[in-house]
Amino acid sequence: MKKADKILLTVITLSAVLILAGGFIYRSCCKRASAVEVWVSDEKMQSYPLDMDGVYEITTAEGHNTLKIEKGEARIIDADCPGGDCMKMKIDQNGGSIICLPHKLSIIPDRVAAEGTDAVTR
Amino acid sequence: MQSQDKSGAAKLAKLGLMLALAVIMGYVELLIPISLGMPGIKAGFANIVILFVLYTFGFKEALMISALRTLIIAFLFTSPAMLLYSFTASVVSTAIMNVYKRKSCFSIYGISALGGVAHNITQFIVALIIAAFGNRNALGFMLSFYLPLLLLAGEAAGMINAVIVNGIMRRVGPPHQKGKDSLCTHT
Repeated sequence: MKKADKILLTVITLSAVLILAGGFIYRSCCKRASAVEVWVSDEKMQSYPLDMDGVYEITTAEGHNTLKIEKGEARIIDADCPGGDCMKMKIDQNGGSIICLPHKLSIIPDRVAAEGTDAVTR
Repeated sequence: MQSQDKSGAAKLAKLGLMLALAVIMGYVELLIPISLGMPGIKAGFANIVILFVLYTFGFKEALMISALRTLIIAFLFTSPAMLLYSFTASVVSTAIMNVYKRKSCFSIYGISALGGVAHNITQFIVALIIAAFGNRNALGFMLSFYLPLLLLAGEAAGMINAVIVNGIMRRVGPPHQKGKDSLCTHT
């Protein structure tokens, strides 16, 4: 291992950690989520409250996903995309996101709606 | 591996072996499910072969093997649709490894880590172009969370592979050149 190697490795690690830290600070900054928004491509389709359990069918031009909200957690329980990676992601009141790239679908926490005192005290 | 026999047939046979090994490495990797909750994070064992070929044969040979490897893997085991990702990524990472290998200041560790990172970033860019453009939310998530994970994973996988290749080269590779450890100079 040479000196240049060490510098290179340090630079890669540091930049990754910095981006991660920046992202976490940005995401966790003050607001809590009370609902999830369903976006297809760049359009907001629907919004579902996190504190109400339910199962919702989301159909896009590319395919089909089933969103389940239970105990304040939103997950995809069924999808006909090839990878099924969206089923490994979840959203709760602290944030998170569910992205299904093949279906151009993204489900994100609705932070704007959580600015009231209710969201903080809950 | 570096025999005195310079005839084309011997080299061809060796490169064929290397290609077979690279394909098998890729296949073995498909069988090991390393799930860290994120798609696309794997050890990249095929890069062991590519690195070895890059150091013992040269850039042309390494590029050929990495390109053929992805073609064979895509048609045999995964789907041709994945070629867009695997082919571009392996070709770009091999090219980048070669560029930095020519600078004397990096050892095999730095080169391998760089190759892993380059591989991941290329796939990331391809994914951005194919899927995420025009989708603001996915873009933010991918840039702020997925990208740094891919950086770290590429680096770690590259280091592991470098240790392995270093061990192999000590036994069967060309004699190790001991150079001065100085930072890159403009050449």
